[in-house]
Amino acid sequence: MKMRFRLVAIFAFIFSVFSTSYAQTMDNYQELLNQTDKMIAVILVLVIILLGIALFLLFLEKRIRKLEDKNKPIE
Amino acid sequence: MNNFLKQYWWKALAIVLLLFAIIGGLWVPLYHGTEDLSFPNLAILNESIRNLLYHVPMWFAMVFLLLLSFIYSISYLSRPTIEKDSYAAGFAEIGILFGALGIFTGMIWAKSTWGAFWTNDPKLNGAAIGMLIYLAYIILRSSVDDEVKRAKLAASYNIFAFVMYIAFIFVIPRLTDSLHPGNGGNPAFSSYDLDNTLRLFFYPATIGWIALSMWMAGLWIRANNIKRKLDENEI
Repeated sequence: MKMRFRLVAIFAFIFSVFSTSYAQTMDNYQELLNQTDKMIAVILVLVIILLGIALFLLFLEKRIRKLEDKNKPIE
Repeated sequence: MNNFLKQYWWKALAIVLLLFAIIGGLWVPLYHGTEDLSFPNLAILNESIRNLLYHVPMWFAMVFLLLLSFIYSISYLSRPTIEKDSYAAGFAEIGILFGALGIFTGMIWAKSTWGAFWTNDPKLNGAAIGMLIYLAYIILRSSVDDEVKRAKLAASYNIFAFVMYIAFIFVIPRLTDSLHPGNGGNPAFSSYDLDNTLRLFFYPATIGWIALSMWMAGLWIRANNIKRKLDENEI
């Protein structure tokens, strides 16, 4: 009887320690996922801005090319 | 204005300020209790608070360019010259580009904080309506062939468009509940939203993005002016 009580106590202790640390790991994991998600939003915002500037440069390039073609001396 | 747009010092300043804002904005950690230099670690926003240095200045740059366009339109109506019309159009066009960037970057930030790309927020709806008003300005310009008639019509419409836009993005959101800070009774850019570290990066970021938008608008306007002069020479 005493032996069984000890075994149950040991299992209960091990289970509680592991479940607590597992829960903590899950919390950390959730926190990490959450922070990664927010950081991706920051990177995406910067990418969109850079794409906008690139788009502007493309339009400007096109416009200047047209002007160059127009201003070409007739051969 | 033409001389100012061709100067280099403020373009160099723009590059320095933007490098400072972009690198600093990504490098400074969030506050976890020990850091000396850190951004506030606010609930829901967390790491995305860095977007304050990228998304918000898009709107500042847009409003600045649209204000310049508005001033040139008024100036055109009082003393018409075709250069003034060219400035008004160029500033408005690049202002619209920055407005579009503001909307798209805002959608990304909204998804990560509010859970949806678009919410029924008066500021978002106001910005979208305002963009449509300015797109109509572009369409109006392209629909009139006569240069003088186009300039007069566009200048008159631009004055209306700017006043409406300001009402849609600054006045109406303050009268109703809104998710944006500074609206629905929330104080904007106060101690609740900005701490001193954020201010250290936010103000240079705003000046830098505005200067970059001016640079882009300047190039656009100069290209338009050259095109106009070449067209005149052809005639």
